Amino acid sequence: MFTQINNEKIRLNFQSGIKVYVDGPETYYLVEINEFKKNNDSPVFVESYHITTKPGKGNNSYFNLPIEFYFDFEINVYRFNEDSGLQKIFSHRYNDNGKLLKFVLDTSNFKEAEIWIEQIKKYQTMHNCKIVIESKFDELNNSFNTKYLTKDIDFYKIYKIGRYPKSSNDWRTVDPRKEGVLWFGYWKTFWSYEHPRCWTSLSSKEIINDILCIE
Amino acid sequence: MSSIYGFFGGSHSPATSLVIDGEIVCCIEEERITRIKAGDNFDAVAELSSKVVESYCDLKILDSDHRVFVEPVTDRFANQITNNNYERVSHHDAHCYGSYFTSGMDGKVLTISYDGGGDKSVMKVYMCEDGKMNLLYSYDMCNTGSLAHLWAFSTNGIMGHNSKFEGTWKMCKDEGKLMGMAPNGYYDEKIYKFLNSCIDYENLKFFPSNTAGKTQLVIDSMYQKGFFDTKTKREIFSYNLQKITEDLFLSFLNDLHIRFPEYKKLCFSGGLFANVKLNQKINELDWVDEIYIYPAMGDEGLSLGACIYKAVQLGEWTKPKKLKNLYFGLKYSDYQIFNISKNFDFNKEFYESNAIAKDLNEGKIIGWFQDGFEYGPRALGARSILVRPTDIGTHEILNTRLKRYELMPFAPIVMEEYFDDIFEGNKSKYSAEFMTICYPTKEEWIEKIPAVIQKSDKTARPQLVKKDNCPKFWEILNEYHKLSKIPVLLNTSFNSHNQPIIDNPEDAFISLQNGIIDKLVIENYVYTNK
Repeated sequence: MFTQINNEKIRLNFQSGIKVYVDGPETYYLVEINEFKKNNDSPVFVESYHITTKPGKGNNSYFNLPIEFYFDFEINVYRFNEDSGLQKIFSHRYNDNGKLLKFVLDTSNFKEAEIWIEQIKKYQTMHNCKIVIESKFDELNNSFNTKYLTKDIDFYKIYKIGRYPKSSNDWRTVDPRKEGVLWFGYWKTFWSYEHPRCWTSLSSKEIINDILCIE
Repeated sequence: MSSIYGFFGGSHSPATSLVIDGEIVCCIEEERITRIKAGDNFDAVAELSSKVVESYCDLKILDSDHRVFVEPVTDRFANQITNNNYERVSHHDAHCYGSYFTSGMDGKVLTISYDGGGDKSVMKVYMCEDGKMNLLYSYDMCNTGSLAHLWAFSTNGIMGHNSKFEGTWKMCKDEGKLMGMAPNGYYDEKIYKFLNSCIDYENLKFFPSNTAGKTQLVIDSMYQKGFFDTKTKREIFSYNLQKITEDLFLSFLNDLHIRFPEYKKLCFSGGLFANVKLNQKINELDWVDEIYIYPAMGDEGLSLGACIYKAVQLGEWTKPKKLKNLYFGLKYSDYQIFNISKNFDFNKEFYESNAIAKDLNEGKIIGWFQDGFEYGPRALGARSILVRPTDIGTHEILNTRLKRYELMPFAPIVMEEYFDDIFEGNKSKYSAEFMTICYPTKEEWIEKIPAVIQKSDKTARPQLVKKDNCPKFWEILNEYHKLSKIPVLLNTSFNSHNQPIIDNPEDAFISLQNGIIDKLVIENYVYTNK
């Protein structure tokens, strides 16, 4: 998705986690992700990133939050305004109602894929979205609309369903003494997310329910 | 009765403390051992301080009865030194218990912690009475604004960044420079509004969340647009930063008072309360009877807070009690000092307070090394540099010798008996024993002690010295008073700029050798260069 607001160009990509690209005349922008918890209209802060549009000023021109699972979030983009200080220039709340979504099933087990398909159908009902399936089983893929299965299509969101360990390659694993260390920009480690759990010990249904937040 | 080890580490300001049978035995900050200031050493754990306390107190961590780590806990390190046998205590509980149970306060007390965040909170408020603490509010980090973050990221950005995009001034280390500059600035509606767009307050809530990210954007943008490119502009910014901090936090306290008017005593802990000017404004509120700021108010104080939390749980610390002093660090014997002195070529004579008072009266700069070193950020008579307070030019001499930034104010030590003669307001004197509050100076003293008075607002951050609690420190003040009629000395920390306060005699001797000080009083002897 691409948006132009005055002089700022903002691009969102939910193909693998959440990516936000910002370009504009200012050197610095702030991208912030907030979450709407169940039964609570006030969003809570999840993560933010200091975007730098000019080279040589540190940091990067895009923000990537590698959360693959579903959660109800909004993206806010801020810039500095010389009259008022902080100025919100863009806001987008994740909403896949009526949108086209792709689910990539990472399993060789047909029965497991079938279980996942059942849950994906539930998700489709809950969110009223259009679904495309990509799996090793044509029979399952064809049970949904296949006309969108081209490389050029711009899916609103791609979910990868599979058994992925919780391990990461972030810096905490580099020095084991620092495991669990709190640091600005890594708040998510301490949030009360149920996801992702350690997927290796979960049943097929629990795995997909975790990823798609289906109870 | 039992032995309790407390640890904190993993974000900044690691430390180790030991409490035995409800008495504080030892507290050591990691920076005193590593010789790297906490603000320059993020993510360190209490690796060295834990070993030093173990050895100094001759009690193995594994042989202690309880081991408590403050959140956020670095699990691997905790497992390693405790054989996976430890308890956890919440970050803000450690702040609050440390504060209330060392306050000596009786009756109804509100205890408040506020910082940039620890585990999931930025702030907690406890209602306390007769040694019982009941949680009133806990403010979650993900939906609360933080004044401490406003300061941290203002500090980090005001002087720009280096090639690695690190702040030239650093959070958790250089905030005092902004506070020192603030009185020289003035109100600027636009800058105040910029800061207000990062944080606001209403109805017992600071908002919006993510003050860190928002402040970073505003400050970095302001830097880039030239808002900080002169000293005067930085002073104006600092003034408005201080003002909005006071405005918002005092509004919060006044709202608390409306809801709980019977609570007129306040205890504070958390990095925000390193701000002695804010503490002054709180102390000056009409409805406030007394305030107490935990002397190790930042995260360096958490390890002791954890011990106290556990001791309270065990029934071994039942009521708030007062600390006599903060000399909980390593103490060196005359024999150890003598052995270290052999590596240097100094004159040595027995210490006599009247002789040193004479030196001070003549303008000599005296290194003062006594007892165990202090716990917390202030030099309070264990590792201090003493100078007469009567010369305005002392600032320049000391700053040159100590390589310090010119706007860092120097503080006075004052004999208890004369405190009311010199400073306005006589509340919260126990907290003043730890140099945690500023007071306005009485008109007739401003010209007499100019080296320890803030030039613009005529306040000072005094340490009230009591004869019973710090007898040797009181004695030197008394002798100086006899000579000069001034019961005040300038006291600054025994360190150079960007260095932690010194720990051992060798560092003190090196300072003497390098001419940073003119004489060194170390325990019962005085050393001078030949």
